[in-house]
Parts: sequence; structure tokens; C-alpha cells
Amino acid sequence: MSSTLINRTPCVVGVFDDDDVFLDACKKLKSKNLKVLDTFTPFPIHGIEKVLDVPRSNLAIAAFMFGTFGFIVGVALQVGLAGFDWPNNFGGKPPVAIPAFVPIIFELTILCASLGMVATYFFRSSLMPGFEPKIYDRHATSHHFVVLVEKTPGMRGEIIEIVKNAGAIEVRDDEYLEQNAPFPLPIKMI
Amino acid sequence: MIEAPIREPLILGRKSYQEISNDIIGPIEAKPSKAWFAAFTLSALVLLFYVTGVAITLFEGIGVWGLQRTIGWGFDITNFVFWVGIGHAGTLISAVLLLFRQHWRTSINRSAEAMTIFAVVCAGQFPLIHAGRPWLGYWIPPLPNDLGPLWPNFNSPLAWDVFAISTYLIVSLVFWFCGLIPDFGLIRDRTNKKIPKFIYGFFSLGWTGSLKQWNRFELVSLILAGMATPLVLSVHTIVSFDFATSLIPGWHTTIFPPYFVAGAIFSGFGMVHTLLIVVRKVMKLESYITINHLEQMAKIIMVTGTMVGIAYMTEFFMAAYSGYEYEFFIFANRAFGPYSWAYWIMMSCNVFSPQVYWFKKARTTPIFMFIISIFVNIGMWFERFVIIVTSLHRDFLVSSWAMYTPTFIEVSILLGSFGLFFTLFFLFAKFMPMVAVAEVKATYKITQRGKDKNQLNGRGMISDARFDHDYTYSSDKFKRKTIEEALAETHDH
Amino acid sequence: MSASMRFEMPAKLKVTAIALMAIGLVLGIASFVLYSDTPSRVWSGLLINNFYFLCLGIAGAIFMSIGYVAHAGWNIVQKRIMEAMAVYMPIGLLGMVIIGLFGMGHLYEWSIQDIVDNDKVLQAKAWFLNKGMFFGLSLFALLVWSGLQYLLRRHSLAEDTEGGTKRFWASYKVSATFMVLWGFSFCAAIFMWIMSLEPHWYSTIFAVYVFSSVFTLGFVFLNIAGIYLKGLGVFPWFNTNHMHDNSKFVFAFCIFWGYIFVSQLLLIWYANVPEETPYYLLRWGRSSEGFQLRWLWYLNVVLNFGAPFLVFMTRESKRQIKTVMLVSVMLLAAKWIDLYLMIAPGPAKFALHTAHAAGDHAHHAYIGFGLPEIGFFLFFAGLFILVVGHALSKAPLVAKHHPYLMESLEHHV
Repeated sequence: MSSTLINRTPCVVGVFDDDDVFLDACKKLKSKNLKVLDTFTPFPIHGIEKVLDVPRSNLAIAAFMFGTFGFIVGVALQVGLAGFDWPNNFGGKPPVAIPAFVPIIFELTILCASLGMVATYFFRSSLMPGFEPKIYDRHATSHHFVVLVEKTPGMRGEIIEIVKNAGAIEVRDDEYLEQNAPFPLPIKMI
Repeated sequence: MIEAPIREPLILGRKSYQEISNDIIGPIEAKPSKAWFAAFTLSALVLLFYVTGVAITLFEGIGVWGLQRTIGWGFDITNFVFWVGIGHAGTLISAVLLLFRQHWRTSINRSAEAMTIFAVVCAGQFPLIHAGRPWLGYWIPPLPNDLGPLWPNFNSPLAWDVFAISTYLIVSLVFWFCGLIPDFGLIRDRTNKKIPKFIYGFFSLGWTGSLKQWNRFELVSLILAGMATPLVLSVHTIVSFDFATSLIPGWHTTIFPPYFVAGAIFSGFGMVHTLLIVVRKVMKLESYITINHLEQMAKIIMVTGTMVGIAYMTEFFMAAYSGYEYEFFIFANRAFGPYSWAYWIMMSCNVFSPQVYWFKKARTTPIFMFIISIFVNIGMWFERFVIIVTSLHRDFLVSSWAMYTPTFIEVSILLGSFGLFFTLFFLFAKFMPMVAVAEVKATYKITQRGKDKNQLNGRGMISDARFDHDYTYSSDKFKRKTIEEALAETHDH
Repeated sequence: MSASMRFEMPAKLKVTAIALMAIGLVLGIASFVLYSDTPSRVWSGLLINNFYFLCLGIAGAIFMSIGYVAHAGWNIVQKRIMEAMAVYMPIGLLGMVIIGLFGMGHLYEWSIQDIVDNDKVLQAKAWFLNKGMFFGLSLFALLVWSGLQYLLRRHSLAEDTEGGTKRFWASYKVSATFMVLWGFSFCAAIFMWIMSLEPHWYSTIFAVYVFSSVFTLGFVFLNIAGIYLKGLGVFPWFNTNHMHDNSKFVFAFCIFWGYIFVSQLLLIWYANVPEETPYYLLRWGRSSEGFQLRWLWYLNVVLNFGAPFLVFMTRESKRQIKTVMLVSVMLLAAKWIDLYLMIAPGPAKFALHTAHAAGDHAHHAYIGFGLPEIGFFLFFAGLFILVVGHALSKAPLVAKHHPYLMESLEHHV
């Protein structure tokens, strides 16, 4: 699948083999005012959001919006069809029998909220079937912890030194952070 | 985050992160074992019963079943409720235990979720076949049509069921898939073979494990869990409405919703037990799915079994208390009438047999737990049989009283549905990671620290005094901390 | 901050509590005089408020036991508050016995032999609805529930000096026993104490319905007590994360309450069986008694489910003292309204029928909100504060040697 190239930022890649060492390294980089562009880890590192100042995702709001949409669809569908389009008398109940509509309203709310939220998550995280990402380290999904540090002019040697001293098992400095998008959209749009 | 040393470690032995990957992904990359082939072939053969039974039913019509005017629901709806019930433990394990921060869920959630999906797939077949003409299934959802404005009856619990079961299937599938993406990414990066790399790469959706991806992944899991929890409750509640909204004695009772949910959790955990006790041996996952895991589940089985027992007693009590003689007749008839054998199978399997889990020895012996789990499965199937058939077979008019005998075809569909379930499950066990690799790794250190002085770090080396009794992760390094010190630190995190 | 630090009841709180009790007692006694034409109203006021605070006591007991059985770690810092709540439980249970001894004839239709003799339904229920069963269940609860909780408290206090895990495992066993015995007898007791106020009506889900309220009330109180003690400066270990998790439980159990509420209503509404619908008709003003509680009934759903659901949906709202206190106070009122709707109409209907049967068709305030409801609330609130405050001051505020204390101290969400 062809992908649209958005961005190429020169960076230093540091590879670690233990999550605690890795987290300490991130803290060190942060304290030296270096910019950590991204990390690639086999599992979510507890506490890294605080170290790297990752803001809390707003996916909860998306879920709430989609849920509200589902709620409205559930109400409109049942009240519209059973109440107005073709009112019927079922067992002496009024055509708009609110208690009986509760289950379907609930199910549609949950369905829309979860599908909408997951779709937003895929969209925002560039997760698309068949999308081939750039892999910085083959073991980054198994047992290696990768950090990408922005290469500020004149700081190259120092950055490599810091990363090495922090306990990296491998440091490469000819890399680029490539932000690919599976579809031609500015990634920061949403 | 720390765990008290009194909690048992979740994973046995010293593992590095690489070893965890190898242990779980290895069997997927290797050629299937003989045991797997044997099991898969056997289930596929049993599946043939299902195919044959359904084919005959569709060809001849449901007249080939033992149903009649009095007993219009028999094996089919019993099987439906049974499989839906089984399908509750998976999402319960992933969702509720995630919300309760129970780390032990990580070793079992993946297979339990898979089980959920296959069980719901099995369940969904039965109402469709029972409706007689499955090819007209599209009449059920409210689709615009040219038959005049003809819409489903939204007051009908059967229509609610369609929405509930399909929502549950879709959301469980999404939940399961979201958790699988990182593990598919892992398989993609490990393999050099072209076809697996393409297939797993395709389904990994280009996962890299970047900072933002994990950040959102965790939030998505949490919110999905938050929504799946009421969803799980709602699904079996709506299934119970199929009965409880009616006027039939033994069916119309207000405790049905929570009672069905407790029963579903009970039967679901019973089936998880059955599967995992076998699978951990066959797939050599004993150090991931440990006796400790089985014991936790045994406790849940005991608790929910007792809750089901309270519900049985409440129903019986209320039938006597209400002074409503038809209601009481049905309950007396259940316990002492022509189907009393089914009732007592249900009682002894569901309420009495889990009580042995009061003994630690029973909770920690796999073979024993396996036997009890089979009892639980049998008991929960009979519970639905008892509810449906005993309430129907004594109609209000004595002239309508009848007995129900399933035909060979109904039995073969039931048997075959187990074939369908196990075939799907064995396919899953071969081609997908049985244990959520990323989640096990994420909880590995948290659950191991402080429990064994020779614990390892992720590199597979014996670590220094970091891992010791009372300690916590403070600002930039590990340090030991006593309770007194922790009490003295009173910052708001 | 050291673990040996203790809570001492501030004089202000003590005086307030005693004043509340005194005012409540005066108002309560006055209501016996002023409402002498409708004693059922006074007794139902007593029952509502006694049961309300009994729920808080039960909540403390079951939280502690569930905590032991489930190996809960996050909430151990609040364990002493739960213990103190559980100390109140026997007083509430004793209250039930006293209400049974002196007010039974005004509350429970089935306790009057003349009525039962002319009522086939009540005759069929006489095997359960009788004085022996009422006192048997109440005394069982008083002795067994409180006895096991007393054991738990003793183990907990001994653990403070002994250390080790011996007391933990002993408590674990006591808790498991308590949960089983409590689970079965609680259902029966709720049917007896509350459901039999309308003895012709029945609903199998009723005990679960009450249970959901017990849970919510308990977590609401834990938050209030935690915030209060932290404000005094004696309880620095209680932090935003504990409050957050308590609030999560409040949120969850408000939804659970809504679920049970809808399940009961939907099934009774749907089947429309004459044995079951009177419960709702009586409250909706659709029965011959003419009690108009319809708007209160709607308000009840909004306050108990709608409002907490919407407010507590976001993460931040559960972490801010202001919103948490707001929702807590609202829920304290909401749960009272819920209990009022459960309890008050039954005895009122019974009193109205008795009066009509005796030829008294004059207007009496069989149901309402006034002296008996407010007075007894104040009395029990004062009593509850005194008992819980006293129990809290008897022991250090953290169970220092509890094996899971560290998890709770280092807990973050």
C-alpha cells in the first residue's frame, strides 16, 4: 500500500532491553531538555505518560458523543416506527411504550459508543489494514524498548553519549522519524 | 504500582521478556502437535453431527424435533440460553476484572474472550434455526421494506434479544481484536515467512507500539471495559426477559435478570475452567496459567454457584410465600414431578458440587477442578432445561399437559454445537496467541516484585537488592521503603 | 505523620451530635403526641430512619468482609472507617427488634390476628409472616452478623499490636462465613422488614434492590468520612485516588441500582398481574388510597440514577472534593427518598384501611413529610455520628500491620 510521506525528522535511535532502565533513560533525556520524538515498546510502560508529558487522550469524549448519537437513534427509531409510522396495540400497551424501549436504546447506545470510539482510535493511531509501518527495531514488539530523540544541531555527540550512558544496548544516529499516514490527511487534524 | 508480598506471583519461574514471547508465540510458529491434530479432528467430526442435524431440520422443517403445541420451546432455546451463558465469562474476565485491576486476568483473558465469541456464535444459530426459515432472517431487523410499513414489534423481548446478542457479539469481537493487534504485530515482526508475515501484518493494522498507540490503547481498553460491563449484564438480562415478561408460572419472576446474570457468570467460568485445565497441559502453558489462576476461578465458581443457589431458594420461597397456587405447583412439580430428575441434577451440579471449593485442596487440584467444571456445565444446561420444559409441560389446562422427548436430531444438533465450539476454539489456539503477551509482560514485574529474592529483570539476569520486601518505585530509582516511611509520606499522587 | 496518630472527636462534632440527638428525641416524642391519630406514620418514620442508618452499618460490615475475601488492597487505608460503621450495625438491628416489639401493630398488617382471620392471602403467608419469624430473623441478624463483625474487629485490633499475617487469615475465614450467612439471611430479613409492609405484594428481586442502595450509601459515607478526617489533618493517607475509586463504586452502583429498578418495574409493568401492580399504583396515585407520590417517584429516579450517572461520568469529577461532596450529599438525600418510597406508603395504606373499617372517614395525614420523618432522622444521625466517631477514636486510623496496607498507601489510579 502506498503511503503519503508527511514528515521526516532526523533523530537518534536508542535501543534498551529493560523497561526500568528505559524509563530511567527517558527521565534523563527529559531532564537534559532533549526532545523525545517517540518510543516503541512491547507493552505500555507504567508512568511514561508523566515522564514524557503525554496528554490524556480525549477518546472518552468521542465515546460519549457516539453514545449520545446511539441513544438518539435508539429513541428515534422506536418512537418513530412504533409510535408514528405504524402504531399498534400490543397487549394493551400504548404505542410509545417507553419501558419496553429501554433495552434497545441501551444496546444501540453501547454499540455506537464502542464502535465509534474504536474507529476514532484506529483513525488517530494510523491503524489501517495492510498499512506497513517503519520498524526501528525488529524486537520492539517483543523485548526491546526503543526511544527516538530529536537531533538538535550540534548536540549529536552529546545525545549519543547520554543515551549510551543511560544503558542502551544499541545507538544509531542516521535515522529519521518518518510519520506516515495510510491516507493523505494531515495527521494533526483531529 | 506495587503488589503486596502476600499475593502469589502470577507467573512461575524466571522469565525474560523474550522468553515470554517465545513461550507463547512459539507454538503458533511451530508445526501443530499430534495432540492438537487429534483434538481438532475429533471436534471437526463432532461438528458433522451439527451439520447433519441442521441440514435435516432445514430440509424437513422443525417438525422433525420433539416440540409440540404445549412445549414449543425445547432443546433449541435451552441450547441458546446455555451458549449465551457460556459466552459471558470472557467479557466478564476482560472487562470486570480489568476494572477491578485484577492482574491475574492477563493470563486467561484472551482465551476466555475467544471462548465468548465462539459461544455466542453457537448461541445465535439456535433461534435462527428454530425460526424455521433462516434465509428470511433479514426480516428481523427494522429494515425499510415494501411490505407496507411492516416493522418488528419493539415491545417484544425477542426483538430486544436480536439487538442485544448482535451488539454483544460485535462489541466482544472489537474488544478481542483490539487486544490482539499488538500481539499480531509481535508475530509479524518475529516471522520471516512471507505468507504469515503478510496475514499477521494485515491484521496488525500497522501496529508499532508507539507512545501514542499504547496511550490510546490503554484508554480504549478501559472505556471498552466500562461499556462492556453493563453490556454483559444487559445481554443475559434481556435473555431472561424472554421468559420473565410472560405470564407463565416459573417464568414470570422479577429476580430473573440478576439471577440469569449470576448463572451466566457461573457457567462461563465453568467452561473456562474446562478449557484451560486441558489447554494449559496441551499447549504447555502451566507457568502462565497456574494453579493460582485456576484457584481464583474456582472461588468465583463457588461464589456465583452460591448466588444461583440463593436465587433458587428465593424463587421457591416466593412461590410459597405468594400464596399463588399455580406458581407453587410449578415449583413443587419441578422438584417432585416427572422432571424431578432434571431438577435434582441441576441442584446437585450447580449448588452443591461447587461447595467442595471451600476446601483449599479441592481448589488446587486440577483434575478435581476439571470434574467439577464438567458438573457445572451439565448443571447449567439442565437449569435452562428445567426452567423451559418444566414450566411449559404443565399448562393451565390439564388437557394440554404433555411430556417432552427430544428426537435424535435435536440431540445431534446439541452435540454438534459442541463440535462447532471446539473446532473454532482449536483453530484459535493454533493460529492466535492464547495468552495476551503484551498484557502479561506489562504486569510481569509488578506481580513478581518483592516475592522472591531471586526474581529477574526483563533481561533475564538475576537482579540486585531492588527486588526485596517492602519497597516502592519512587521518583527516579527503586528504593526500599518500610510501612513507617510510606505512612510518613503523605503526598497526593 | 505516624501511624500511632489517633482521631479524637472534636468537641464541636460531639456537641452537634448530642444536640441532633436531643432535638431529634424531642421532635420524635412530640410527634407521638401530635400524630396520635396516625401512629403508623410515626412508626414508619422511625423505621425509615433506623433502617437508613442500619444500611450504613451493614455497608461497613460487608465492605470489610468482601475486602478480606477478595483480597482487596486499594481500600485498606479506609478499613478503620468501615469497622467503625460496622460497630453501629448492632444498634440498628436492636432498633429493628424494638420497632418490632412496640410498633409492629402499627406497621405490619399481618401482625393483627383479626385481619389475618378475614384474609385468605395473609393466612397462606402466615407460615412466614408471624411474630416468631420476625423476631427470630432480627435476633439472628443481631447475634450472628454482629457477632462475626465483633470477631473481625477484635482480630483487626489485635493485628495492630501483633503484626504478621495470622490475624489476616483468621479474618479471611470469618469474612467468608459472614458473607454466606449474611447473604441468605439478608434476603429473608429484607422480605420480612420491608417487603411485608405490603404483605399482599411480592417481588423476588426486592432484596437485590435494597442491597444496591446499601452499597451506594456505604461508599458515599466512606467518601464523606475520608474527606472530613483528612480536613481535620488526622487522616493524610486518604487521597484523591481513594476518593476516585470510592466514587467509581458510587457511579457503578448507581447504574446497578438503575438496572435493578428498571428490571423490577419493566417486568411488573409488562406482565400487568393484579398481584404485582398495586405496589406501583399506590405510589403513582392510581389507587383508591389516593397517595400522590408520582413526582417524588420521578425525582427518585433522577437523583439516584440520572444525576450521579451524568456527573460522575468524567474522570475529573470523581477527583474533585467539591463535586464528590455535592454528589455525596445529593445521594444521601436520594437514598432516603428511595427508602421513604419503599416504606412509607405501606403502613399508610394499612392505617387508612383500618380507619375506614372502623368507620372513620375523616381526613388524617397518613402520609407526608413532617415531624416524624425529620425528628427521627436527626436523632439517628446524631446517634450514628456519636457511635462511629467513638469507634474511630478507639483505635489508630490505619490498620498498621494489614498485609495490603502498602498497596493502599501507594495506590494511584
